[in-house]
Amino acid sequence: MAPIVLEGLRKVYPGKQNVVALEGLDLTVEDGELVAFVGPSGCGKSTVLRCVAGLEKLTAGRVLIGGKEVQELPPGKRDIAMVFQSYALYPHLTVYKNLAFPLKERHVPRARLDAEVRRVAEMLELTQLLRRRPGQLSGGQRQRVAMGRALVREPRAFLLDEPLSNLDAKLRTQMRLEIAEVHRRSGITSIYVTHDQVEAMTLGQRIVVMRDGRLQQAGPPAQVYENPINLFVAGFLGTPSMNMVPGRVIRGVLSAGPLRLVAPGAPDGDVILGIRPEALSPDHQGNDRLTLSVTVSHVEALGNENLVHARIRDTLEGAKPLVFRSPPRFTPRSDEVVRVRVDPTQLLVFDQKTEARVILAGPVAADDDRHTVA
Amino acid sequence: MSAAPLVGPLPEEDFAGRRARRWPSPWHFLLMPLSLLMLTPLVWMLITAVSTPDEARQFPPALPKSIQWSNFADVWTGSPFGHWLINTAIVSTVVVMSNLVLCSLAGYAFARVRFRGSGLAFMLLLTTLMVPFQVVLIPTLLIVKSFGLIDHLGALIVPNLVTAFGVFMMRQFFVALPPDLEEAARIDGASRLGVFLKILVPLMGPPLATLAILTFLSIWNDFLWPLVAIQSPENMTMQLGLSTFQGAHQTDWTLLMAATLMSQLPVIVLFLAGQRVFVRSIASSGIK
Repeated sequence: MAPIVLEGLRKVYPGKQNVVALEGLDLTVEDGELVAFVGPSGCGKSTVLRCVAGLEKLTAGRVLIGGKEVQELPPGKRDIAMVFQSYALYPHLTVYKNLAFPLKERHVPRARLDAEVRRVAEMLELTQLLRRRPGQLSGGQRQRVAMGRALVREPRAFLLDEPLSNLDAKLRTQMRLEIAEVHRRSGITSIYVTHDQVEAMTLGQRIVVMRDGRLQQAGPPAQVYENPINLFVAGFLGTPSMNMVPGRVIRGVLSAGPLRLVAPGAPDGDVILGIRPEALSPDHQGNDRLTLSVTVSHVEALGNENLVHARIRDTLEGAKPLVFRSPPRFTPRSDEVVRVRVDPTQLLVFDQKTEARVILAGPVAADDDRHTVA
Repeated sequence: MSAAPLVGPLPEEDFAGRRARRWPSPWHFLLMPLSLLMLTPLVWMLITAVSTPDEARQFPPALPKSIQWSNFADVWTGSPFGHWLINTAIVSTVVVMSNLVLCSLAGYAFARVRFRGSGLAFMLLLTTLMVPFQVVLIPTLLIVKSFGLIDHLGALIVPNLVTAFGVFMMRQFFVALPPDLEEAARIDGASRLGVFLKILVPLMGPPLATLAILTFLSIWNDFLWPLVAIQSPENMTMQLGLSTFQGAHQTDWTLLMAATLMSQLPVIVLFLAGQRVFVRSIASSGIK
C-alpha cells in the first residue's frame, strides 16, 4: 500500500509531428485511494497509466510510488499490478497458472504460491475454474481472472485500464460492484482509467477529467459534477449531456432564449448557460421568466423515466436542442409544444470565449423585470 | 386463424442456409479432373519405378506385367543412396531447427525492439528477398569457399541457418500479436527473454509449423546450391544424388524413378500425416 505521486508528467511521442500525449500532469493518489481517470479517446488517460506502469518512458517528470522514484525502473520492479482492457490472460496457461505466474516470476515458494492462488480464487469465486484455460471462460470470468492475477501478490499499486469495456451492460454493472468490493477489501492504492463516466463516477473516490493530455479537473465525483470548472468538464460528465444555451449578460442580467435570469457578479459578455437535464421539468402552468416553451422532437422511454428531446422555440441563433428528464407518464407527441421550468439553483454559467466557468457572487434567480435588457 | 405453434420443428427452409455442403457440388466437377491431371506425373513415376526398362519406354504408359521390386534394391545397392538420405536429413534438420530459433528471435527483435537503424535493417532484409538466388550464387560460393566448407555438408547448412523469408514471416506474426500479453508478463516480473520463452514461444505453434514445413521442403528439394557446393558422391544430398542416374547419352528411367519415389517418400509420409496442418500453414502464410 502506497501513495502514488505524479509530478510534472510529460510524454511526447517523437516523430514528424511530435505528438504531445501528456503535458504537466501533477497529481497525488493517496494511500488506499481509488482515483478514476476519465476523458474522451486520445485524451492521455491510458498514457498516464502506462507511464506509471513503466510501459512508456516519460519525456519529463517523476513518478513516486510509496515515496520511491520509479520512473527509471522497469515494470517488473515497480511492484504494481495492472488489469488490461483485453485482460491479457496467457491463453496457453490454465487459470491456476495464470494466477500463479506473477508469484512464480518472483520465486515465491511453492506452498505459499499455492495458498495465495487459492485465497484469491476463493475471493473471486474462481475455485471451480482453476483447471480451465482462458478460452473456456466467459467474459466476466476472464475479467475476474485478470483481477485475480493482479491481486495475487498484493502489489503496492493497482492499475486498471478500461477493464470493463469488453463486457455487456449487465455484466459491467455487476463487475463494477465487484471491483468496488475488491478495492474496499484490499485497500490497495488504485488508478482506474475509463472512458465511461458512469464507471468513473461510481468507482472513483476522486475522478480526474483529462483532455488533450492535460488534467482539466480532479475531485470527488459529486463535486466535479456539480461544480465543473469549464465547459468541457460540464459537457463530458452527465448522461445525457448538459444542455448548453448561448446567452448574453448585460449588467448582471443573463438572457438566454426566452429566459431572463439574474446572474449576480457575472461580467458583461457572451456566455453559455449550462442546464443539466434534471434541472428542467415539465410545467404546464408555468408562465414566468423561468419557463420555456419547447417543441418536442422525440421521446426516449426508459421505463423509469422519459428523456424528452426538444428545441427551444424562440431560441437564439446557435442554440442547441434541449433534453430533459420527465416522469414516465409524461409522453408528449413529436412536434407538440410543451412548457418546461428551469431550476435556477442548478444553472451554471460559462464564458463563451474561454469556456471557463463564471463564478457568480450569488445564486441565479428569475429576473423580476426590475432590470431592463438592452 | 390459429397462431403458429411456439415450439415445434423448424420449417425445412430454415435449415437451407445452414445445410452442410453436399457432394457433389459443381466445384467437384472442375476439381476432380484437375486433381487427376496433377496426379498423372506421380502415377507415371510410380509405374515407371516398378517397370522394366522396355516397359518404361512405352507411351502412353501402361501397367507393368510384373512389379519390379528389384529396381529399389538396385538403387540402394548400386548407389550411396543411404548416404544421400542421411546427408539430406542432417542438413534439413539442422537448417529447420536453426531457422526456427534464429528467425523467431530476429523477427521478435524487428517487431518489438526499438533500436537505431532497425527500419533500414529491415528494409535491407526485405530487398534480399527480391534478389533471385542465381544472382548471389557466385558470391555465396566464394564466401563458403573462404570458410573452407566446399564439398562439405557445412556448405549446405551455413548459408541457410537463417533466411530472410523466415525472419520476415516471424516478424509479421509478432507485429500482428497484440502487445498486451508481453506487457502483462513484464509487469508480472518476467524478463524480456522470459516473456519470449514463457509467453510467446507457446503461442508460436502455427507460424513455427509453417516455417518448419516451408524450410524443410526447400532444403529437401534443393538442387542448384548442392550442385555447386558439393562434388563427392558421399557428401551429396538426395536431389543431387538423383541427377547421377541421368547420363549424357542414356538414362535408366526405372532406377531414376525408383530413386525419386524413395526420395519423396519421407515428404509424402510427412504430408499425409500432417495434411491438415500443412494446408492450413501454407494458406495462413499467404504464399503458395
